[in-house]
Amino acid sequence: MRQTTLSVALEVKPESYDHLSSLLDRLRNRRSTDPSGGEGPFADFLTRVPALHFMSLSVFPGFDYDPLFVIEANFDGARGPFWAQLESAIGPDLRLMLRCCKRPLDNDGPLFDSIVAANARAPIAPYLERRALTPTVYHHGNRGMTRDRILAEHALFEATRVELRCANVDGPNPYRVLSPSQIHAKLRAALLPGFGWLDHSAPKRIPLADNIADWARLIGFVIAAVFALSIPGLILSLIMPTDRYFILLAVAFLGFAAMLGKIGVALPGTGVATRFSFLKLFFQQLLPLVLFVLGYLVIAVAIGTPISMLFTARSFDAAWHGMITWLLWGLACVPVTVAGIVFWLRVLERGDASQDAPPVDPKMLREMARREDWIPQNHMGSIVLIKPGILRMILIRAGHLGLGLVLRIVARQGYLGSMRTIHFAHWAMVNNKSRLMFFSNFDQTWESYLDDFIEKAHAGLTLAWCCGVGFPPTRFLVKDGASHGRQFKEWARHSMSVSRFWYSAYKNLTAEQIERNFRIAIGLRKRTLSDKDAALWINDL
Amino acid sequence: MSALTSRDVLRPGPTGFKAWAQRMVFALMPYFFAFLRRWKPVMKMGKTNYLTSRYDDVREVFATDPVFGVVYKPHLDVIMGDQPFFLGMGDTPEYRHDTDAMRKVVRADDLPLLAARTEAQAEKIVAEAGGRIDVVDTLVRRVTFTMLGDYLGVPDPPGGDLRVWGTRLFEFQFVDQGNDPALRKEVDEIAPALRMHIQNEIARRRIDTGNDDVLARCLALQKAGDAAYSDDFIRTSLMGFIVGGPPQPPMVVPQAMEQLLRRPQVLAEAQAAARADDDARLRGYVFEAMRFDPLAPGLPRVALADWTIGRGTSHATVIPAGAQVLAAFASAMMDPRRVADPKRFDPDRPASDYMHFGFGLHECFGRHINHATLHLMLKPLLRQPNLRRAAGKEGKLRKSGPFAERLVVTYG
Amino acid sequence: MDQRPVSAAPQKGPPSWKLAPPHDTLTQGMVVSGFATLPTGRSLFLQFCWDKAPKKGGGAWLAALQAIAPISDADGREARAAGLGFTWEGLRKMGLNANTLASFDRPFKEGMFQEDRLRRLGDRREGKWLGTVIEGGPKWSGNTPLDNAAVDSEARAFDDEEKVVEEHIVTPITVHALLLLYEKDEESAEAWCRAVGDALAPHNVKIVHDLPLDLRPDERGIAREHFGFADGVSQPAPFEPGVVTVKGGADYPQDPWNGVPLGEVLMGHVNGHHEVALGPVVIDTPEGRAAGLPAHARGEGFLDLGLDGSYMVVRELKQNVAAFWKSMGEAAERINKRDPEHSGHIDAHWLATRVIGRDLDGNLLCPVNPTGVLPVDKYNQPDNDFLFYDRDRLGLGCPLGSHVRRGNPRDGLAPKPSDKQTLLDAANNHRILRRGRKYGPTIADPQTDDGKDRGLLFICLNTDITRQFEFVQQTWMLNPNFAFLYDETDPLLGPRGMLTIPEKPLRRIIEVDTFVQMAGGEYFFLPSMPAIRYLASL
Repeated sequence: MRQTTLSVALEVKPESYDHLSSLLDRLRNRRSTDPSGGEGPFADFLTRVPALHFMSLSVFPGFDYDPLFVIEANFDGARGPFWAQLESAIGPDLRLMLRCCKRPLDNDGPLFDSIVAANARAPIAPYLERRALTPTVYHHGNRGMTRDRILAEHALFEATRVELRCANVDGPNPYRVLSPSQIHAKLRAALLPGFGWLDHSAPKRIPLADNIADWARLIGFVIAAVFALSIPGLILSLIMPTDRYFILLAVAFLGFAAMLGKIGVALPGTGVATRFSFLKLFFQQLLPLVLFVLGYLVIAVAIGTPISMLFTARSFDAAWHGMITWLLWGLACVPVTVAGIVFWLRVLERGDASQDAPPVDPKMLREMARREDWIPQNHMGSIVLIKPGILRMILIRAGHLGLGLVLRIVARQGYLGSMRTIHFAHWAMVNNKSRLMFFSNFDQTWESYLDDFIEKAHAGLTLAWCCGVGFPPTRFLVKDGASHGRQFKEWARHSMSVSRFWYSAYKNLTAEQIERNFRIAIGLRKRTLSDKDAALWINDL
Repeated sequence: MSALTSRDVLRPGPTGFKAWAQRMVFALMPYFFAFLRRWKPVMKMGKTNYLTSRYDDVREVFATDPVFGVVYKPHLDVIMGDQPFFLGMGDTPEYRHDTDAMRKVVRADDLPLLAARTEAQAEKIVAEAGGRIDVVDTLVRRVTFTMLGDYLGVPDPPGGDLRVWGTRLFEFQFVDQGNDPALRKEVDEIAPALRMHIQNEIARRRIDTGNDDVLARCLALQKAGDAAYSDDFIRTSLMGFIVGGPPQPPMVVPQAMEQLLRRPQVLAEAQAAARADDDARLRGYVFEAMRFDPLAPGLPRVALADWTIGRGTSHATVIPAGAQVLAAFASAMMDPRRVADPKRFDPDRPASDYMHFGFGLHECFGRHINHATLHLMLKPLLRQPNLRRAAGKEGKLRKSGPFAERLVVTYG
Repeated sequence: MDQRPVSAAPQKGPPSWKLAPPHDTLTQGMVVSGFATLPTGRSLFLQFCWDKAPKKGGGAWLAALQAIAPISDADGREARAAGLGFTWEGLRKMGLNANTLASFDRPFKEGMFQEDRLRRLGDRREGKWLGTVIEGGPKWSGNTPLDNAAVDSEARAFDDEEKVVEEHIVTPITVHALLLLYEKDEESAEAWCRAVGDALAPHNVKIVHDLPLDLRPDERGIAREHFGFADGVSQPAPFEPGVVTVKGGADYPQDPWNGVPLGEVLMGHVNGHHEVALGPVVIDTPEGRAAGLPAHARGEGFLDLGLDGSYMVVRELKQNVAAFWKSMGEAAERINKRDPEHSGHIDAHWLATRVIGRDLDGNLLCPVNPTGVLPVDKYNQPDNDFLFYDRDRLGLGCPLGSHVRRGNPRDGLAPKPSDKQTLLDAANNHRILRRGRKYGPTIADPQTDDGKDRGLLFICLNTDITRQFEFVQQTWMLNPNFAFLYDETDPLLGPRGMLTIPEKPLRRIIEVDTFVQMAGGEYFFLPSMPAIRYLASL
């Protein structure tokens, strides 16, 4: 099933900042245990907002801007029903919180008035819906697993443990004398009465339509990028004689390369050895890249030929030939354009001001510590200013768009590099796209999460965050950067706010455990397993 | 024959073309609502009537009770002989006082007992029916009136039938917007008779306390000197409950049964839940089935002041004071903007997907009783093996106007 | 010196690491050595029994101490050795400048017994000590005072928040400094302790708690902790070109399995996160210069108080030997009863080795070798140059949740072969240099509780307490989801719970009790030799 990740960021009246914080604290302290349905804190959320996986309500203090109230939600299905469920669960509280926010100066003003007026009773869902932000990049660790499925499969896991421990409890354990496939059969027979759904086939985690859409979007993006990068060549090759055009390309490329060689090395004291290599990546991705370029040619010729016939009245043959030559000449320029952009970027990077010791408010830090590490999962929300300049702006937008599309393909198993500790994470731009917001619901501690980034996924993380003002010095968007451990951690802490209200629908389950439960369930859904398959499957029990 | 001694619970409905047209209107209603939600969420009908069809707007109308008042008072006055009943009031101290007083005698801890009685009664009826039963009259109506009559302490009147009286008055109060003179004539007979009947019961029970029911509790409090429980108040409240309560389950529960019968897979699951004694799960099935054919398309409200529905949205519409608004909760529960995948039958929906009993100030006083009992009226029937529609026309739910009339099923 | 177990008899061994000049005379000896040739000793927990931090003279006791028990440096073997660490409150009481006190790392400033930290370390939750702490709560700590962040007392217009008051957790004994004395035999140690006590008494410094520091190697030269297992087998091997050397002066090579940058152990050197490990600073004064403190690299007008110092984590861990073996015996009995056909080899000893992950002599359990353990290395010592992924990814030999795997998972957490090196490198960023020794008499019969107090004085050195010690404790040891396990923690240190023992065809899960309980603990600053001289000049 499709899952939605979104956030709503609302400017807060500075005078109401403290009050809003206390409203959030009070909502958290009131976490009720509703007798109808679920158990434990926030049980009413479990029954009243069944779509919800994770949600946070936090308020960021104002330094560069007024404070910001952010609702972050990760849920199954479409947005509309979620807002209705949420309103039924904590509508009156949310209305009080919205009253602490500034009235929007745009067209949403009247809608805001209608929900915050004294004694207002109009539904707040339409306003939240209107103000919801779409993430620029998001990541789902257990993609396609609905909340109910996660809970059901975990109940199954618990039942397997009970069965394996307690079968024939006073005598020999019958499972210890069976072969793997017999263990599977016996376990299945024992669990089937309590878990009738084992007889049904498993719902697809990524439906075909989603799969096609993921690929189509990525292909579209790459083709558009190839086109955009060849635009200078397409123009120049039209206005210049061919031989001179190629001389220009060669000279420009060599020039950029020479200059890059000079300034490409790390600034003193900022270089970090990494296994990440552009050359390796390039060769790894060479085949898909060639396929993409071929795809681009096919599509561009298919579109361009009729247009060129229309404008120049050439014959089909002439138009086709002319078009493909022109496109190829344009493609020849792509490396030069890329080199030029990288050179420009490197110039900017060398001038970047990084913050070696970002100030961290000890009180804020303590507030965070007070709320962290109660359960195996934790939460963080951060906002950073975005570096200025047109190239940065383009790179952030294109970079995030591309990263998001790539993640939909390569991170389907939930792995970012070698880590699978994230349930839901997303980036979004706020304050008229001048700040970048990051939210993550992850396993283990904040320290281990950041260390994972530093040690295992620093390239991807640097790419996504290096546009932030004060980020440790980077090279070519992905190198160095987050490898500066403590500096990066302090920078991240500095940008964070306290997660005052935070809800998890399955607080004891790590992303890994959800996948383990999933594998166990998939095995148990099958009526029989061969000894070989069963031996593999059994490792998860 | 006088209305007082009539044994026909429902007045004869329309026949021929009129009946067909009426059925068509009901059948097309969901499509009409879908159209309205998309293109005209707040539609003006005639001079002073409006219809809201979106979830958000319906909720807004129900929630904004200071502006959207109930329209029940004129008819209530006829029924109650001008005694005030809280259903006809706004959010006033008097309203609070009266509902609080009734909550003292209609208690939450009665629910398990009511549930057990309901199930036992239904069990008995199903067992005696011999494999063939009319869900509307034989099962649900009998169970409801017996259970609630016993609970409230209002027995059948001498020579009359509480089911007939209650349903007639219900029709006058909630259905008859056109002021049918024939119906009014009957009401003018029944209303004073029922008042007299209850007043007689009050007098009788003051001497002979009898069972612990609502009436007995009221009288005990009256005796203890609680000024709230005057005879007028007790009578009016009991009368209000009889008129507003028991006539409704015979409408909506058979409709739910019909919806289950239309979905064999769902019916099988509901039956499994009934057999497994999983009452919470069974309730999920029955309440979800009701969503596909609820009590009524909507509930009327009257604007007490000018008000903009959906203010700040593209479909904002000003409702002038005095205009009547039909808040179409049937449509709201099918609004894909707020209800996930509304066409799918899903017994696990959250509470916010339902508005069966209204919402806000005037949300049905008996909703907790409904919550505890409605599904149990069907439970013994659902446990029967080989449950299916009876052959022929009577195996399909027949309606007379908004009232379910007959649905025969066989089993065993 | 101590890449090998401290138990190693002083015979021929692998090349050990040492510090090159000038660092060898700047660093405390216990950084480079576990003093294996000095098998006994004492840890003396000192309290400064004066009220207010004096303006001058707070270091006088330290000067007196240096006369009777000079703190050892790292330039070679000595007849007896001493080490010294301070708590934050101890430094404050000695009159160290407030700005300098603020320049230490957060965990040290807050102390081990800060409310949130205790939760993370698995000691205390929601106002209650957990089962892994001795009855009635720990005996000693630094009793670090609450800091400014503990309560938000700042007045603000429009503030209506309810103030949370942080609990100040106090132990009966307050420790301001920890003196570690290493001696060759018990009588000399006893005499030395008395002399130290006499020297400190006039300065109003009291020994409020003391524990023996015993190696007590057996006839084969193996020092065992009380459960009977060889201790301290695996240690990180620091490297830094030009600073860490072998005998003869050549650079100590980067060990592919256990190599860590020197900055993981000593402040002022580059650490695993490519940064210079941070240490405290003092304002430039003639006293500081005279003590030998170098200028700080970044803070103009300041001296580096941290260079070649470290943070020392100390936890007194009481061991209940009888309970351990009883629990193992019961678990074995349960297995034998539930699986009579395939559990002939399973007894208390077999299970105990699964809990630890090594056999009694320190050899790693191994699924491939017919002996069930890794063969000893060429120096006839337990092999420590191994990885998990290729040989024992599923933990069929050494269980995934065993104590050694949790203590250092090496490359074992890699999801796929191509990630092995990344995961090994990552794991090596969370290593600690262990310097603990046992206290209390060896139990006569491991099955019978004799009621005597015994255990391990856990001591480890690191420069980033959060990333090293606390990470190991929280993310590896007590993590209920470590290595894809569910709902089980370290079988040795954790609370009562379960341990999964992978096996073909079906894993076993045993229940393990609590046998190790914390009786006290604190974070200490382990100053460099110049820093000690500076502190003595206060």
